[in-house]
Amino acid sequence: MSQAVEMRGISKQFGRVQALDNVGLTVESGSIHGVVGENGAGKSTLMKVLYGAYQADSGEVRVNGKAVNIRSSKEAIALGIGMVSQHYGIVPELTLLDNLILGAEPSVVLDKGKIRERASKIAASIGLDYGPEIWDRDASAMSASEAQRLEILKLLWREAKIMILDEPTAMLSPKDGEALFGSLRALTKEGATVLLVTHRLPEIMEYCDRVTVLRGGKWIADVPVSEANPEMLSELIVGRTLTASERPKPIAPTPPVLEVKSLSAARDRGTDAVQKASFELSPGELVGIAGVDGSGQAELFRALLGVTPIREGEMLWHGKAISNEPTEKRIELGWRILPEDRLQEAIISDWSLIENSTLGLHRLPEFSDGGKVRVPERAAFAHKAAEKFGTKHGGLETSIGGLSGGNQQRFVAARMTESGPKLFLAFQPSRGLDIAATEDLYAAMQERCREGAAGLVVSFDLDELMAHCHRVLVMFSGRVVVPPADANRDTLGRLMVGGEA
Amino acid sequence: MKQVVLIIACVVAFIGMLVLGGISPVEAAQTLFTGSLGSPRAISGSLKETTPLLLAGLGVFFALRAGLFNIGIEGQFLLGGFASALVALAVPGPAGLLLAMVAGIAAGALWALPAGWIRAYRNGHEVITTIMLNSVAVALTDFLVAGPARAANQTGATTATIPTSGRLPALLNSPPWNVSSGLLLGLILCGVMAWWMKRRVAGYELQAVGANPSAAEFAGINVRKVRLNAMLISGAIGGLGGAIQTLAFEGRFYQGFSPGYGFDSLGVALLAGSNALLVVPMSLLFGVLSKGGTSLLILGVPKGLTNLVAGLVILISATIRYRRQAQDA
Repeated sequence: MSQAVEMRGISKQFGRVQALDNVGLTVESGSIHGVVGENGAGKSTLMKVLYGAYQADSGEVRVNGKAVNIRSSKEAIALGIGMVSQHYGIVPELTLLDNLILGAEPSVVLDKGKIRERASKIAASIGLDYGPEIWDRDASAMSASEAQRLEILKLLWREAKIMILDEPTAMLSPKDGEALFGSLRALTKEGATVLLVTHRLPEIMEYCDRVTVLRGGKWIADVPVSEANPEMLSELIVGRTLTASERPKPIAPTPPVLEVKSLSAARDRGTDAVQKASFELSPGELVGIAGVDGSGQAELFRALLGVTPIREGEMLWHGKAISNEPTEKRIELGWRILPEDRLQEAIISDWSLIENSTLGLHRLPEFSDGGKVRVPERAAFAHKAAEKFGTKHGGLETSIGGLSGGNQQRFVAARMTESGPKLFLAFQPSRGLDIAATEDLYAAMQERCREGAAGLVVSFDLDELMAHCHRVLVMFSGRVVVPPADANRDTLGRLMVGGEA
Repeated sequence: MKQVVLIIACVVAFIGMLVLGGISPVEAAQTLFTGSLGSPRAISGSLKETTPLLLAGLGVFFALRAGLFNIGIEGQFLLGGFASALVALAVPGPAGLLLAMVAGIAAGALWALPAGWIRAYRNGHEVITTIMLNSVAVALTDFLVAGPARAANQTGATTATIPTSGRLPALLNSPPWNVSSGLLLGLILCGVMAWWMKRRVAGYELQAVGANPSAAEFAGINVRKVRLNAMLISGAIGGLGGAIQTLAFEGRFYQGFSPGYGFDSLGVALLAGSNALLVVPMSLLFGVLSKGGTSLLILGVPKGLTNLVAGLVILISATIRYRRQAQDA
C-alpha cells in the first residue's frame, strides 16, 4: 500500500510554547487514521500544518510520495487535502448548493442544473439522496449533523482525496455518528484517506485502521487498531493510569428544589421546540439529559434561564413560581449556566480572561460594590477559575479569544462550578475537553451536588451521562421523557430516537 | 509604529494632491501649520473647532461601545443647539444658562429616543432611522429658525443673540488666547466616561452588549434596556455638544449652525476605537485639520481637500485595525 501522507520531524513553536516537537505521522492511502491526545497535545496544530494553515519550523511533508511545501489551504486543496474544522464554515443566508460551491465555483456563469446534478452524484457517493428540494434549502435550517455532512460534501466537491476531520461527531447523535462513519468507509473504498482527530476512543476502536498518539507536542505511539485497546490508548494519551470514576447511585428521593411543570417554549412556525416538559430535580442530584442534537435541549435551557420566554406551564424554585423573574434574578438565586454555543453565548472573545470570568456574575455582591466593579475580587476569581481545570493561557489580561477551544471550555466550566451554584445547567460540558479534563469537570460538578446543588447536564454522548449522572432523562422532539429507573443503555438509546421504553 | 505609518501615508497623499493641484507643498504645509498651531490665535481657533468634535465624538463613542452606530449625532447636536438657544433667550442670567444646558441635553436625548426605541424593541436598524432623523432635524430647525423662532429685527434665519450673562464663560480670555470652558466640560466628560466604562458594572454591561449581545443575554443583562439607554445617553451628549456650541461660541442658533460637526465626529469616534481617552487626540487632530484647512483657502486649496485627508486618516486606520483583527482570528 502507498502512503498518502508522510510527515517527518515536524516542529512548531508559538512564542515560548513548543506546540510540536519532532513529530512524525504516516498515513496509508485508503485508510482511516486516528489522531488522539489531550488538549494541547498538538493534534490540531499538526493537522493545520498539513492543511497549510500553519508553517512548520522544521520537518518535511510528503503527499502521495512527493515532497511538498504547503503554504496555504488553497495549496492544500490543490494537493487534494481538505479539512473540516470544529467550527463549520457555512454561510447561513445561502442555500445548501451555494454553500457547497462557494469558493470553488466551476465557471463564472453558473449552470445550476449541471451543478445540482454533479452535487447529487457526490451526495449519492456517501449514501445521501439529495434532490433539488434539499439543495435549494437555506443553510440556516440545517441541523448540526446536516451541517457536518455538508462540510464533507464541500471537500468532495473540491475533489479532496485526503480528508481531515476534527472531532466530527462532537455534535452528533450515536446514530448520525454511525451514518457518518459509514459514509467515510464508503469513501475510503473509493481511494480516499481520512485523518480523524477525536477524543472518543470507541470511534478509534470501531472505525480506524491505525492510530497515532501525541502528548505534550511529542509523538508517543503509532499502533494498528487491531493491536490496541481503549485502556492502553488512554494510558498512552494521559501518560498515567486512569481510575475510572464510579457511576453515582441514584440518591434517595427528597422534596424537589426545581419543579418544571408542563413547560412549552420557543414556538416557531406553529410548533414549540420544548413541548410540555415536566421533571423535577432534588438537591444533590446530577441529572443528565440525553438526546439527539436538536431535540429541544438548547431551547429548554434557554427557557429555564429565562432567555427565551415560556409560552405555557410553570417552573417552581423551592416551591415558588419563578417563570416571570428575569434572568438576572435567577442568577442572583444561584443559577449558573454553561451555554450551548461557547463563542456566541458564553464568552466575549475580545475581552480578557479577567473580564470574562465574571460575565453573568458581575452583578453579584462578590463582584459589585453598589454598582462599582470589585476589581481585586474579580481578578482573584479569574485566577481561581483558570487554576481549577488547568486553563493554559498567556496571562489573565490577554483576550480569551486567543485560547484554544478546550482551554476556553475549561475556563467557562470553572466559572460555573466555582461560583457557588445552587443549580447549574451545563450544555455539552465536555465539548473539546480530553478524557482527564472531562473527569475533573464531572468530579467538580458531583462535588457541588454533594454540597447540595442540583445539576442538569445535556450531552449527546449517552455513555458520558450514564457514567457520571445519578439519573438520565431523554429528550426527543421537544419532549422530556423520564425513563424507568432501571433503564439500561439500549432502552435510553431507543428513547432518544423516539422509540418506546 | 502603525500610527507613524498612518501619519506618513497621509502626509504623502496630501502632498501628492497638492502637487497635482499646482500648489507648492512646502508653502501649503507652512500655511496649514501657521493657520492651525502657529500662533496663540490659531491654537485658540483649533481648540474652538475641537470642542464640538470632542463632545459629539464622545456621544458617538458611547453608542458605539454598546454596538450602536449613532449617525444621528448631527441631528441631536442641532436640536440641542436650538433648544438651548430658545431657553437661554427666554430665561436670562446664570439660571438660564444652566436651564439651557439641560434643555440641550434633553432635546438631544429626545431626538435619539425614536431610533433607540425602534432598535431595542422593534429591531429596526439605528443607522437607517438616525439618517432619517438627521434629515428631519435639519428641516425642522431650518423651519423653526426661519419662522416662529426668528429674531424680530433680523432678515436672515437666525434667533436673537444671547446676552453675555447667559453665555458659557471662557476658561481663558486674555487676547490673543481664548479657550472656552466648554472644552474643559468635554475633557471632564471624557475622563468620567473612561472611568465609567472600566470601573462601573453598568459600563461593563454596556460593553458586553456591544461586543456580544447573545452572550450578554445569557449573562442576565437586559439587552433592550441597555440599547435604549445607550442611545438616549449618546443623544444627550450630542445635545450637550450643541448646547455648548450655542452657549460658548455662537451665541445664537441659525440656519447652517453645524458645518457637519456630527459627521466629522463619526470619524473621531471610530478612530478612538475602544478607548474613550483617545477621543481627545482624535478630535484635536480633526480640529487642527479643520482650522488649518480654513487657512489653506487663501492659497486656493479647496476645503474639500482637507476633508479628503481626514477621510484618508479614517480609511487607513480602519484598514490597519481590521487587518490586525483578521490576523488575530
